[in-house]
Amino acid sequence: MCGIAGFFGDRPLEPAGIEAMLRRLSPRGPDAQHAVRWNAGFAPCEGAAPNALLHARLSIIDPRPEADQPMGNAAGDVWICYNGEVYGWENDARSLAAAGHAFRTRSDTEFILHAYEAWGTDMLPKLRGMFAIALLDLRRRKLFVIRDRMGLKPVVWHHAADEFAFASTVRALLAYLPAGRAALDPDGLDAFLAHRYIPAPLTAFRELRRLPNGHYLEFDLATRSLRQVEYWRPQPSGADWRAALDESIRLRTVADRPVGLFLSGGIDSTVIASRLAALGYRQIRAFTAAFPGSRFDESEDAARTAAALGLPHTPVEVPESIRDDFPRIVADLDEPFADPSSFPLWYLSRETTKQVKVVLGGDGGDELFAGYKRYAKHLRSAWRRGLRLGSSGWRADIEPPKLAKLLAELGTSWEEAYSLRFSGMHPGLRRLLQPQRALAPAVFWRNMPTESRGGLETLLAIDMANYLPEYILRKGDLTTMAHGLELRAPLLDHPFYQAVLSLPPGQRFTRPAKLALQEVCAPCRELDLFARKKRGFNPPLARWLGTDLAERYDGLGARLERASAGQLSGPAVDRVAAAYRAGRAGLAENVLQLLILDESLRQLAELA
Amino acid sequence: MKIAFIDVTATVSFGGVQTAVWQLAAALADLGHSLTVYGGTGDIRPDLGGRPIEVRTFPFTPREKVLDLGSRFRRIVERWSFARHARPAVAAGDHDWIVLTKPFDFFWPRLLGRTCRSRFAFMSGGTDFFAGDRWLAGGISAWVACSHFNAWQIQHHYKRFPRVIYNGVDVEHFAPGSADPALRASLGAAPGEVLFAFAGRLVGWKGLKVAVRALARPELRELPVRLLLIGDGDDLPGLQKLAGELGVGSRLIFQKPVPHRELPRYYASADAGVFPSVGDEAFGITIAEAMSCGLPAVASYVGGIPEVVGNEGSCGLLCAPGDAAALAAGMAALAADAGLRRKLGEAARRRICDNFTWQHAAQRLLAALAECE
Repeated sequence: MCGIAGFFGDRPLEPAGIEAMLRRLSPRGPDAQHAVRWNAGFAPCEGAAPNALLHARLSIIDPRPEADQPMGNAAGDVWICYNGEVYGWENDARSLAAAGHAFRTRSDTEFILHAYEAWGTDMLPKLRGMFAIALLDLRRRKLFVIRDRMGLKPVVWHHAADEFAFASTVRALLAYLPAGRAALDPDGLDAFLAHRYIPAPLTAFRELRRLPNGHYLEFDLATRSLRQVEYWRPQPSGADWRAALDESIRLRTVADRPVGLFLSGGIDSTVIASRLAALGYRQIRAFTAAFPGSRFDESEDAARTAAALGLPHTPVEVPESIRDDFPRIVADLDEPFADPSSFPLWYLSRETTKQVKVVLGGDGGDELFAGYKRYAKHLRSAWRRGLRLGSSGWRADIEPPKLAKLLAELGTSWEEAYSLRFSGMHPGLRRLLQPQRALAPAVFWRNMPTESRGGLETLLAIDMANYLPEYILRKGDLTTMAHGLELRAPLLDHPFYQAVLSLPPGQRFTRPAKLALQEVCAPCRELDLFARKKRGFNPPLARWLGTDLAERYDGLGARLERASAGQLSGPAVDRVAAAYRAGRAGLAENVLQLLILDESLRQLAELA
Repeated sequence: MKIAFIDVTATVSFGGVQTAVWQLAAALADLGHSLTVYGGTGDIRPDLGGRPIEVRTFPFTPREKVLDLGSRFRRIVERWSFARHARPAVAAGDHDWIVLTKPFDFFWPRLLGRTCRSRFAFMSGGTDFFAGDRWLAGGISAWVACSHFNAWQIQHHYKRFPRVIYNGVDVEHFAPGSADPALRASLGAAPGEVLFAFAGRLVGWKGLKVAVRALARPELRELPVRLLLIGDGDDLPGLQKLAGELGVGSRLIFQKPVPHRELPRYYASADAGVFPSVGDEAFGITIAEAMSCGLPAVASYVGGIPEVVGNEGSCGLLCAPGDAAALAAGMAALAADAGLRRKLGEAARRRICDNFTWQHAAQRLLAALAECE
């Protein structure tokens, strides 16, 4: 796992700029950092350069320097810069070797390089796993930047008339732009308020875009034109999901560094633990975030599961105070991103990385098997699908009166109204905070379904295109990579996912949720996990807001108004914060959103 | 097993459902089963290659002669009038399984009554739901659908999740062939031009206006691309008008419908297929047939189409429905690269032969019936 970046254009970047990009990538790849540079004619060069590939490496497979990146082919005319891990490629590598490709390492990086040489972008179906890949083909004068199918690895990019650049993170890419050129994107900020994350293709900056999952970019080095291609969307395969699950888990245990498991008290990670044990992997250590004394603490449940399966277990106590780490965590989340659970996950990763360098997680189970309560909640209003009443819209207010809220909700489509089941800000609150902003879209999601699918499938499709890649997986990637820890998600293996898509809805969507999984997870049944109320990964938010972050309320509105170039109204921000402090506990997550935005914009202003 | 298909239209008209009935009957007969096809009085008998398939026909009232209380009403009356005549023969046939192809036939289990030992299977190729069909559906024992997408449609309406058998293609007839220069010339396509073909009804949900808009996009403006639309329908005048407004009329070729058996000749003279549907296609049989002829397809990501084309971009390119820019980009990629067209076309042919033959469909149908044993 690693950080990647690159730039191609007329403007040479000074060594200090290249160093800055590498430095900002280095938490993702602490083991080695390299840049390969070319001059305007694409001859190798040193010092300032207009073209370069940059890589910061976390070594998991074949840690020898020979496997460092950027990696070139023997002729030096095809280069790869890659962040991720692909699995099950060994047979294809053998066929490539038989066809004359000489392998110098055991790394999946070199496999992808040879696979591209042999098959071009047709090699994409052969890649199973998570990846953000840049492939520079000097023979064809093309650069391909590819993001994995499910969106486990991030890519942001910048394209102007005379240049193209990309990176794993917004912060690394900002180092490429000339100082002061990066302007905040009003849609990006509004999207953050609406969703608590900024969905692709938006970012916090106008000049930077995020590549959606399942897409690649093709940049023509000669004409400087850019093409975005969607190379994959899921489709049911009809395959046996049980076999696919075991294969997915088995493949993800392959590493030259120690492998662990994030184990909560929930079903998804317990399924993985259970299959690991059944497949004979009993040395894999389980790690759980612990909140002693809190009703959200799941460490005892997890300990019972680990004991039942014979897996070693380490509870990781999340510190009581986040005050000192708050700026660092916000920095590691790259751009404004406000999931409260990223804090405990960051701490869990910090401790886990001391013992293992790869960790398996249960991400994706809730989206696959409809585990979130919000689905049932929103489906209650499915009777009005296709109906959209004329309404005066959302009144600017912290919490509009119930009737006004109901009418405003009926004025948006049923699909868009799904956004109200999340903890982001409703359109009325966004209006209050952004009084100068013209009417904004209800949601900033992409791929809103157009087919006449059932209600639940529609909601799941929205989540798979937005919430999963840009919220759940981004959080997982950023919080683990901040500590040089590689998170693998067996439930998001695409053959497994496509096998699950073929399941009859009666099997896939059950009450309680995920009953289909009990046949592959005896402990889920024995420990009665299906009957247990879903607790989520919830930290003690009220305590953080009341004490650790309390000093940040002073001048919050003025700071946000200034940092957002007037898009946010300072008095409105202070009004929301004051309402929370006066006892409106329901605003806690919104207030955390504002505090994170404040810190994030402050940091980004220093970098831009 | 003794298996029967009941479809009043099988012996009176051509179309996707009728093709499915005859091809499946042939494939099941080849597997050693005893087959009967019950259809309305009519002359249509495809070449069954000497297979021992019994064809029984009975009178019926064509839908055109039924009081116009809506298309569904007319079709139900058409089928009911057929059933009144066919019932004694079907009951006497003593079939193990009777396969129905439309919900309008769901009355059959009740019509035959409990004394009949035959069980009923429903082979879905679309929706065609009507008031009361859920009640009648109680008599259906086995459910199969032509795609996962269609299976979900059935699940949402009947609360039954069918087994997916996929449609098939007659891969021997729909096979790659040599381009016919005379046909190509008669259509008006010059040798150096890239000819994209569509075959089907020219109706709004087929998305052909999107294809016309794509022709006018910058991505395609400079490329020697022509669009051949084979078919007829309500959308024809609108398409002609739009093409005129956008100044792409000279790049469009309208061809009146040709017999289904003739399509491979047209596909052989084309360079790629384009199927820009904006409505829910349950499967996309014409796409599968074009692919079977070795054409790479540019198609919409909608309904069951991705299940046919595949989602890895190795047999064809998918784009968001209604997105003229994305469609133009896909068409431009194929138009600019003969090697890509050849590669995708070969893979498309392989995909159809490997997954979507009638022999595969018959095996899957038998597996679905076996689950009910």
